[in-house]
Order: sequence, then C-alpha cells, then structure tokens
Amino acid sequence: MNPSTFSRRTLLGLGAATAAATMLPGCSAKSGPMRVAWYGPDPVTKAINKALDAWKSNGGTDFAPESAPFDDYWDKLATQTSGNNAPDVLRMSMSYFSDYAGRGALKDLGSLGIDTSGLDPDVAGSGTADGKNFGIGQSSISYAMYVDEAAVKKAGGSVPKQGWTWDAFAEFAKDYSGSVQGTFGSSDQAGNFQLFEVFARQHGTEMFSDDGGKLTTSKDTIQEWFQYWADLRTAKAAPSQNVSGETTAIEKSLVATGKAPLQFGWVQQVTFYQPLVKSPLTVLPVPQDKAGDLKGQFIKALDLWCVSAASKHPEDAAKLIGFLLNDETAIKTIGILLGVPPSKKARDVVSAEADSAGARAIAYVEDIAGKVGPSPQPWPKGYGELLTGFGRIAENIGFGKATPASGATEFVELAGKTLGQ
Amino acid sequence: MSRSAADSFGTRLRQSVPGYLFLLPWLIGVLGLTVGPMVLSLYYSFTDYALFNTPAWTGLHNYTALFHDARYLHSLRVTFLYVAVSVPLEMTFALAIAVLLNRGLRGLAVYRALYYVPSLLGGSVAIALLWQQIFGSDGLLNHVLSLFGIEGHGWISEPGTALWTLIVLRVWQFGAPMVIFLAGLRQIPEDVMEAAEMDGANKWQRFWRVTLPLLSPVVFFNLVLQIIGAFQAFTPAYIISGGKGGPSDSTLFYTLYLYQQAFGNFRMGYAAAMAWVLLLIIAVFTGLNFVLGRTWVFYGDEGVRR
Repeated sequence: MNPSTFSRRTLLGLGAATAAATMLPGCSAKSGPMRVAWYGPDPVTKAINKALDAWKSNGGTDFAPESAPFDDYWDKLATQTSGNNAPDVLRMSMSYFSDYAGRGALKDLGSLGIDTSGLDPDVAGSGTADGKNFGIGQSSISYAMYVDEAAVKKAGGSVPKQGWTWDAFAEFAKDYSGSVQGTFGSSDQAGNFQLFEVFARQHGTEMFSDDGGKLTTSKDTIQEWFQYWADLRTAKAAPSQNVSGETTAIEKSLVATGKAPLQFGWVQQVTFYQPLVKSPLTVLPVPQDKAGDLKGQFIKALDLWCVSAASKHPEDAAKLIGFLLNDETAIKTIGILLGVPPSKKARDVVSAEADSAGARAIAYVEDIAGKVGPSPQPWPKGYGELLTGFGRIAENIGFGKATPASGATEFVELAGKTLGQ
Repeated sequence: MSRSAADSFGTRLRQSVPGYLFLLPWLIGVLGLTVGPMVLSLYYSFTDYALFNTPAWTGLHNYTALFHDARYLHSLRVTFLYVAVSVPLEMTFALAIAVLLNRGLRGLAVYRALYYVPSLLGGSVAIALLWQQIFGSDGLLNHVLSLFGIEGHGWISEPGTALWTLIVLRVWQFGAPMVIFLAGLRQIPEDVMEAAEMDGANKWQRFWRVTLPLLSPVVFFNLVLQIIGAFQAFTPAYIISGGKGGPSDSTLFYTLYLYQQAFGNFRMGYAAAMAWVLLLIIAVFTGLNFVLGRTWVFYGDEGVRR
C-alpha cells in the first residue's frame, strides 16, 4: 500500500471534520435549554431575572435568558424568527402581535394547559387571533398622564380630579409656562400615536376598521391633532422640536429635569419616572373632549407572553408562563413593571405596598375601569410602521418641513399603503 | 484509449484533491457566507419576501416601486451629499497631515499612530455616543462657543446641521488614507525633488507639479476606497439618530433606510432590491473613477513612453 494514499485519506477525513465543524453551529441551534426573551429598560430586566431565579429554585427546568431594549429586541426577534431560531418563551408587544401571529410565527397555546383562570377575561382573550390563542396577556394597561402636583401648586395652578379637557389643558399649559421661567406646560406629544388613538376615539371612530385593513380616523381629525400641538409650540407652552428630540430618554425627559410638570405614557411607566421626580406623581386620565367623559380611553392587554412556533420545549415554556402569571414571588418581583397585573390576586399583592407609584397606577386603572370605552381590536399588521411614521411626520411638522394639513395627508397615504397588505 | 484518458483524469483528480482540501475552509466561507446569501438576495429582490412568508415572484415590482418612494429618493439625496462632501474633505485633510508628517518630524511613528487611532474607533458605537456629547445642546462644542459669547444650538437635533456632524465625524477618521498617503510620499524619489529644487521650483510648485502627480496612483486608490466606504456608511447615523435617520430624516442614509425597510417593516424583498441598486451605484461610481482616472493618474512607467 502506498503510504501517501493513507495520508490523503487522513486529510480527507480532516477536511470532512472541518466542514462539519463549520456547518454545525449554523444549523443546529435547536438543542440546549429553553430560551426566554423579553424587552424593557433595566428595572424590567432585573425584575424578570429575579422572577426566573424563583422559577429555578422552585424546581423549574433550565433556561437561558435574553433581554434587549425595545427597539433592538424587534430587530433581533425578526432575524431569529426568519432563521427558525426564535426564543421559546418571548415577550410580545401588541404593536407587533398581528405581524407575528398573522405570519405563523407563534404557537397556538390552546392545548398547552396554561392556568389563566385568575386572569381578567378581556386580558385573557387579548391574544386571540383567527380563533386561536397565540399569547397570554401579562398586564392590562391604559394610557395616562402623570402630574407633579406639587410643581403645579407652586406655580399657582390646580389639577382637576379627572384631568383636563383638551381646551382647558392648552390653557393650563400656557399659564404654567408663562408663570415659571424656563419651563413648558407639557412635553410635545404630537408624534405620540398611542395618545392620538384616544383623541381619535373621542372624535367618534375607532382608529382602524375591525379587520385592520383600513384607517377609519378621518384626515381632519389627524390635522386637528397636529394643529393642536403646533399651537402649543407656537405659544411656547410645549417645547420646540429640537428640544423634544433631545428629551426622549426617561432620564432626560422634561418632567425628570423639572422643566415640565407632567408626562404622558402607559400607566405602568409612572414607575420609571417616579424615581427621578421628588414629589409623588399623580396618575390621571388623559385630556378629554367633554369633561369627565373617558370613552376615548380603553383598558387592554399591551403585552403578551408567547411561545414561538419553532419551540422545541413547548411544555416547559407553557409551565414557565403559568409560573410568571400565578406564582406569588414572581408577581411580587415583577410588580407593575410590565403593566398593571392582569389578575385580582396579583393586584392585591402589589397594592399591599401602599402609596407606591405602583399602587397609584393600579388604583387609577381600577378607578377608570367602569368609565372607559370598549377596547379596540388588536392593532393591525403594519402597526409598527404606522407608529414610527406618525412620529416622523409630526417631527417634520415640528421642523416646519410640513404643515398639519400636508402631514395629515401624508399619514393617510402611508396608512393606505401599509394596511391590508 | 478511453481507459487511459479516464486514468489520467483520475490521476489529475487525485493529485488536486489535497489542494482543494486545503482550500475547503475558504471555499465554504465564500460559498456559504458570500455567494449563497448574494444569490438568495438577488432572488428575494424579485419577490415579496417579508421575513416570515414564502416568497412569491413579483418581477421588477420592487425595483420600479423604488422610484415612487419619496423617502427612498430622499435617502439617495442624503447619501450623495454625504459622499460628495465628506470624501474630498477627508482626502484633503489626510493628504495635508501626511505631507506635514513626511517632513522628517521627530517622533513620527508616535504621531502616525495617534492620528490613525480615530480610524480604528470611528465606526464604533462609543464614538457615535461621544459625538452626541460633543454636538448635543449641552455638549462640549456649545460650552466652548459660549465662552466666546456665541449661542450654539443642538447640532445633532436640528435637521439643518445633523448631517454635517456626521461629515465631521468621517473627516476626523482621516487616519487610514493618511497612512497610505504617507507610504506613497515615502516612495517619491528624492532626486526628482532635488532636481525640481535646482530648477528653482518653490515649495508650492514642487507640491503641485512633482509630489501630486507622482502621488496620483495613491490618491486614486484612496479615492476609490473612500467613495465605496462612504456610500456604505451606516453605524454613525444609526447610533446618533437612534436608528431613525432623524431629525426629520436628515441623516437617513441609504443603508439606514434599507435596514428600516428590512428589519423594521419586514420588507425583505424591497430591501434586497435596494441593496442591489446600491451595488449598481457603487459599481458605476467605481467604473467612472477608473475611466476618469486615465486622464489624471500618472504611473511612473508611463514616463518612459512620453
């Protein structure tokens, strides 16, 4: 036998081994422990990690956590999902739910036996699409404004119990910025698509048609909204666009730096702002069309726990979701960081810590529960694009590159292109 | 006869096997990581691929849609402006510093290394964040300006100036072309310079008539690379504008818009078409460079013919 033949074979084997080694990591990421992914700022990540520790010490199976800020999370999840490599348990936002559920990226949880008996019915049902249950609501939320009452009183103003009407709010904002040097009555919310949804519903229509295929809000309503904030900017009651651009981060926000007495957001986000403001923030309904009429507002599940369609650990994933929803330690550590907890039991556990921002948020949601309008259909496919598009158009108006009228037209056109695809 | 032909073919095959085996890691890389994705992306660019669906053939639709997309056309304008302004500035700056350093400065190696550092850091997230600290409303630049009684503004948060801060960022990364210029300057024979000096040429004349023509191949090389690099710029705009290309789309680079369409709006097919058009644009510019280069690039060996 020729010795060189042998060496060639060795080489061949070596080559094959190299090839296999190169290919392996790309193709078989399926094994290994169940992966749990979520988004949110630092407090959320810390809390969920603690809740997961509780899962482990209660004999739960092994897992690997993955967390990211909101924007990065979606880039990552989209890539992972298209590569058939999505995490097993994942936090899903209503903003993207239809995109994922409608494209078959989520598992039907119907047969996995997650205990949702304690959940509020509207939250439990919010992950349903095409008759299948693709997600379990992890919180119920509503839009709100958080007001630094001490600052308002110091400026000689007062805060109405049920918040302001839009007209009264504009007056208040002008008075406040006029009486306290270097401040604004409000941050500029022109680009806030979610606050706009409340405004749109106050004008008599849902934002989207029931099938999600069309924008039902009129162009006039959109124009009125953009004009409202443009007027506040002109009156210096709201900051100019370049100031707004630099104050989007929570720690740089006008309310945190004492340059405005209030902030808008989902109710649970008051707990992100509270540590940065000395006096307690009062949680109030957003401005109304008619005083005290909260029909424009709604309570719904914002975020869901989902299991990816590609999951190799569906049973464990389901157990973990059940644990996060029902275990007392998990409930306590998460508190209201993800939103107001979706079950009576959880709310009682969290409210026990009296006069925390969390307790105030829960009291707010329980207070308005009977007064708000019906919750809208799940946001349609393409919602994420409309959300950023609305903000971009508002920015163009703020910089004088568009008018409220042309901006409204542009948004209607964008919605026409994006929805119903 | 056929048997011997087969034999010789077999022998040749056997002889070349080890060669191919050694090439295998590279081949896998090229086929799996470069050629494969490129072919796939070309295919996707003719489909409605949206990340989770099965792509359906839509012909040239993605390509024609580009021309009706106002934001796409806007991103083209932003990118062209960025390339047209930043590349000449960066090149001039790099050449000027290289000429200064080439004058036999003591500690040249130290300076060369120091000036090169920004090129290594420039594409990084940290530098983009630093830029926010310098050019923000409360940033360093405005503090310095206020010392002179000048009221600054939010350089990054105003659409009129945001792109210019990115251009400054690129010019600041002049190190890579500078090092290449320096190497080129070292190649210029001293006797030519001496001869020019003897003939009474002053410094400027020597630079314009001798140094620059002899350096032209290096200028050409840098120009081609920098134009390609500038067209593909992504990170600075992504970090400084938080991925949005703002304020008011003023830093919406081509690649950033492509990324938004692909990963924000799931329009993978559309984004793939954009990527191929960008490749085409870069190819045209590079080709143009080579054609125009014939008129101004002077290679030493041509001197013999003239």
